Amino acid sequence: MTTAYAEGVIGALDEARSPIVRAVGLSKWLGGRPVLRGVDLTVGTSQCVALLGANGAGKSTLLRILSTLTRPTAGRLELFGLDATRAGALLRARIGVIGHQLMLYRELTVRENLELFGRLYGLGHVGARVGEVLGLVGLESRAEDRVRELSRGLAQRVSIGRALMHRPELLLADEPFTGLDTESAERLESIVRGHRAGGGSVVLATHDAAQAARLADRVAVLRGGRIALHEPAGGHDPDALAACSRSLA
Amino acid sequence: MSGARAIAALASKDLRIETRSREMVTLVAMLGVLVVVVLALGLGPEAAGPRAAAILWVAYLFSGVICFEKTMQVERQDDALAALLLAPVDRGQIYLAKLLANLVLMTGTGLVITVAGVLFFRFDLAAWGFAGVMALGLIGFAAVGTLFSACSSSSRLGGGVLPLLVFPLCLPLILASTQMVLAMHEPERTVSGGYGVLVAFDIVFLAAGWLAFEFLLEP
Amino acid sequence: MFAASVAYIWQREEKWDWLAHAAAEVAVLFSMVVLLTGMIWARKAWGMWWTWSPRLTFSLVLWLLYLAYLVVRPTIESAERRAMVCAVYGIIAFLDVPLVYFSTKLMLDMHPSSVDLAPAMQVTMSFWFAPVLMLCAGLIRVRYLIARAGLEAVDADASASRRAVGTSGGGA
Repeated sequence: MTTAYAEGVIGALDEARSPIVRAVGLSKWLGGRPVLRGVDLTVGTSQCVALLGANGAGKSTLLRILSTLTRPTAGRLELFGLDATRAGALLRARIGVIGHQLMLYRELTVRENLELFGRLYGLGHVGARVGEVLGLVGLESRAEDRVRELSRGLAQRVSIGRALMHRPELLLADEPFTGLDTESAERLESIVRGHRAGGGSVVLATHDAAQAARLADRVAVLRGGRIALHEPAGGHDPDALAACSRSLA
Repeated sequence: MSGARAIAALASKDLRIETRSREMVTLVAMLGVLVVVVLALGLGPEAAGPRAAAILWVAYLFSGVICFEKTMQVERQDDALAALLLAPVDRGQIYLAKLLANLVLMTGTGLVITVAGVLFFRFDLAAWGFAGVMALGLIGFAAVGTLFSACSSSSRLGGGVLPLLVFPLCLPLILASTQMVLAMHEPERTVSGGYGVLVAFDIVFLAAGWLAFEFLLEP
Repeated sequence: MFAASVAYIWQREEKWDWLAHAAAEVAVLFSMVVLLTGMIWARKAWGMWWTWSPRLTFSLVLWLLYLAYLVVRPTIESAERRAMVCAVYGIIAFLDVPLVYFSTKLMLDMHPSSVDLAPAMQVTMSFWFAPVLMLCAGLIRVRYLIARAGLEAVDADASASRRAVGTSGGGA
């Protein structure tokens, strides 16, 4: 994994390298209705793209397709320069996902959950890595509690830890700030910044335009399954962006 | 990561969860014992002797279906299955791990049910021959049940579809094993090829489940 | 039905799902005919409607297998999921058939083990074989065409809007 990181950093300097995500004309039909209609999206190394949009605009579906959990009905998706529809285990191991739901086992403790996924990802020194991740999400004191006993916000932090266990190069997060208090949200923002500083890329679905402007290089606004606006976030005043995303939604 | 280690990690995860929430195992064993008692009352102890295999099968089938249903529900809760599918683990290994956990749970509940049967019916189980036949039968049943437990969430009937799909498929198992146990009680009858059917069933459906699980897991 | 199910998993096109469905319907119909005629014959020959003879049991299990397919099918709402679950079940059920056959052979048999037909009867048999197979194929084809026509009518709006959207490829 560390070598993969190094490659990622070198890749940022090398323009010829393929982007982390290259989606062309992604469409998804569910139950005879279009959820996504011809979405193009490119994410480069250590970039962060924020997806804005109302409920039902297709953010979650797009993230599920990017994570290889759902197949697109049409279109082409390349991850790390490889065809994602033939995604093998090695490709999946480079992606970390924070989902709408916790994706954890309630009856297991925080530590057991993290250890299980550490083993499944074939990490060496799982115990040490679990300790690191617990520190990262600030849950050292609750490690032996079952996830069932945690509040929604704390459980969400475990879920974030699970997504980061295997040091993914691409982090896909579907509204990860939901249910987090101010302190946890700040912690997550710093985790996202740290992830990018280490050469990782992020695709982040969110409702909060100001947050999108703070964290992302680029903002894509989804409406009715299409990208209605796709611009660099930096030059934008957060308030203007929020107003814009509201008017589009 | 090596397949065996992934399977061990996943299966022990399932067993740990089930031992934490003990209700399920208790419920399944209780249900099986109830089935045996109801049949004991209905048939009377004299009639039961050679029918042991059939009576136990009814109990195994119902408790087994609930067992498969519950172990898969653990994955559906909080969408833990998505995290599992994202991990670099072969889907066939997920299947084998689930199957292993189901088999351990069913062996446990099966033992309780069988002991109850021996107590109430004075089953003459012809000991090892019987145990071998039933073990082969349970492996085949668990192979089919684990496979189709992956798709019950997509039906409106929920858990109701599982027996509907699994019971007809398992009829050859039940037929073969009951005939063989009957033959054990009647020395003049020989059932040749009974083990062949059981072993063939196990091999065919273990392989089929291993290959097909992937398609049923897709959300 | 087996072939259609394999083809669906391979290519994921709806037409294979319809074909498998049509074949399952015809299989249920035929095994029901076998069951009923068998029962009538058993009444005449042995004086009872139902005996647990291996052959009757075999047809009964087949009938249950494919009936379960038809019962479960409409309870799955998502078309994609339905097709996939049904395809897997179709394959598994097909693999089950020889096992059912061999397990029923373990039972005590009342049927004559080998059938010695009079020559005249053999001719009749072989004459019957072709039309029955043709009837079978014909019925599958009719059911398939009906399914396609129905779904095309339903899909008409969807595909029209799909074209209006201008999405390349659309859904298979």
